[in-house]
Amino acid sequence: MSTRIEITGLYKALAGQVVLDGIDLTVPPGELTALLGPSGSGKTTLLRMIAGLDRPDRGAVLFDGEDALARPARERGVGFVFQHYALFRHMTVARNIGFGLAVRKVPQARIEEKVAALLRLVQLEFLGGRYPAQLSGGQRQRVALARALAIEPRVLLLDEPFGALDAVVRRDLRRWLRRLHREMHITTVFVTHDQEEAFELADRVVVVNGGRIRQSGTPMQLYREPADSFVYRFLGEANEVPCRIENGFVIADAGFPLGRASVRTGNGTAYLRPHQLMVRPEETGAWRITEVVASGPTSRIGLARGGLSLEASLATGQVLALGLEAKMTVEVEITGGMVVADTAATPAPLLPASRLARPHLADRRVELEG
Amino acid sequence: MSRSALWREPSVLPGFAPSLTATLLWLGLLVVAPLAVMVATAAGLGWSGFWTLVLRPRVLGDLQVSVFTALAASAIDAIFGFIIAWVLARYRFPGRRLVDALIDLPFALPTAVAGIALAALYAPHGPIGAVLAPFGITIAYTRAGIVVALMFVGLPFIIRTLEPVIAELETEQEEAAEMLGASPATSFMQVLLPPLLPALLTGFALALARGLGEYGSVIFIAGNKPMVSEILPLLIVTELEQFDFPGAVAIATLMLSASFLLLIAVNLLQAWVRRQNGE
Repeated sequence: MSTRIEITGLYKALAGQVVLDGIDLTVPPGELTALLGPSGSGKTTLLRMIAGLDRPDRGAVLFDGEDALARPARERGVGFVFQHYALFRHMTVARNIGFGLAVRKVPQARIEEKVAALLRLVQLEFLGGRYPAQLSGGQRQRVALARALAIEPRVLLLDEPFGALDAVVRRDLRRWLRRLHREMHITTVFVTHDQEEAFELADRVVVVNGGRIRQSGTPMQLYREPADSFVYRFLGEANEVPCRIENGFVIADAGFPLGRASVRTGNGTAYLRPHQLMVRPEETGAWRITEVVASGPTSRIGLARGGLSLEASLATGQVLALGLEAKMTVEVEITGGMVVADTAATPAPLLPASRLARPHLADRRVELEG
Repeated sequence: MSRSALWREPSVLPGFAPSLTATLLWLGLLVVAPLAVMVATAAGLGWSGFWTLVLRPRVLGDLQVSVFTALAASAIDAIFGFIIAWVLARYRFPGRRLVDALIDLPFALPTAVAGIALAALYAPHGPIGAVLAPFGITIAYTRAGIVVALMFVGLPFIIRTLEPVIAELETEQEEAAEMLGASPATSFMQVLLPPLLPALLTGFALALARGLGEYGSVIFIAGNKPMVSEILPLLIVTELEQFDFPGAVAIATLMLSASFLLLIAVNLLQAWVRRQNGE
């Protein structure tokens, strides 16, 4: 009973600017999919086209094989939750939730019954008589969701559903939505620019940039095998180090080895996540600490060597135990990373130089640590 | 609630007492004093004297003309003002700033100039009057002419009160209604209009108040035929010109009461709408 969404060749240009550049995407029935990308990547436009709020120049959107573009938005059976909720402020919570049923001429008694059930579902039983202005952000979000669910949509779409909420409410709502989806199994697509949110919630994450899908897969797949440097960088902080590769050895342009990679000789860029840099005090070390910034449980360590600046992140407890502080001389061990050669399209893992034996196992281990 | 809390909220700006004094003094001097003198003069006529002056058929007929034309003009302005405000708030088009400036023109223009221009336009041989004449429609020198003049002076009030409220209304509201299956008509009636209604009523009340008091633009285009196309303010002026001061004052007091009652009615309606909207 869940709906499969199939999108092929979706293209849209606005004022000469290409917004969507040939999107092909299938969302299996009942799956929770995240469209992840920076602002201006086209992810919201894509969502609005599935809903029918925007029209593509070319391409097709099918719901269970039937042409969704042929129907206006109000007949697609799509539940849409807007970023700023778009609750009707002159209506009570109960009337907001019942609106979609009222316009369908559902009998009043049936509407009341259904609204009561939905209020229970979103845990707002006693707030049916309130107005949106009297609710907190998290409560408004849940009302918006209940309103979208009231029409029993085939597809549920959410635009940056937690964007306007503070961190704690966001986390709670995220878990709650995940549970709700597990119970209801409506095909759901949500848009976010927050990779943590995408990874925590979604069965499948679709990374969008420049109007194209850069990669799609389970959160683990994306993290372990990023398709390109954009995906890698977007899924977490990364140091970018210009380098050259000589016979499998990766050497920073600043003049020291970083590790090994199975890439042909040539120029390229190495990407190192801050947590992939191990720092230990060493009088004769080649690195210098430029700054230590403790921000809660983890600390950022600024490192410099031969004109190259990197950022490492360590547990604050470890920073204290090692006694790391600015201007200290240290040694840095690179435990993993990624190398993209200028000539190659796909990235290769950066392997620590010390682990010469059984490189593929070392690689696995490092990537899992990441 | 303590006494001081009843009187004022704490504010970073000092000088509550002097500024409140200034407010009351200014309002008293500028607004209440002239009205009080007028009412006092009317009271000097005595109860029966007042009613004899006020219940003259010509006065009642003119009052009817004034109220009817002002209500009609404000109602028509409300509809077209809504459309114009909507276009200005929602769309960007070449010449928008010019249109925007044009709207304020009735505010700035001396009303007599407007009256002469309208009369010339709608007179039987004027550009528009000549077109309408074959159909048996005459605007100038009839009640319709009064309505046209009042529409002219009242329009900016509607537009200027509605425009910011429309601009504030998120387009997502309409989209949300559409996603929930509402037709465009349902969206408009149930989602868009209710939050705009208080502002629309404010604009309507302002246009109505202006229309009731309007004189300059009307007298040129109205026929000024007693009880048919003569507005009450003109009768006041006529009586004053004949040095019938008590008559003028009595009519003025009547007008004041009528305007006051109309504005109270609009305000009550507005309060009711706001309650319906949960504000």
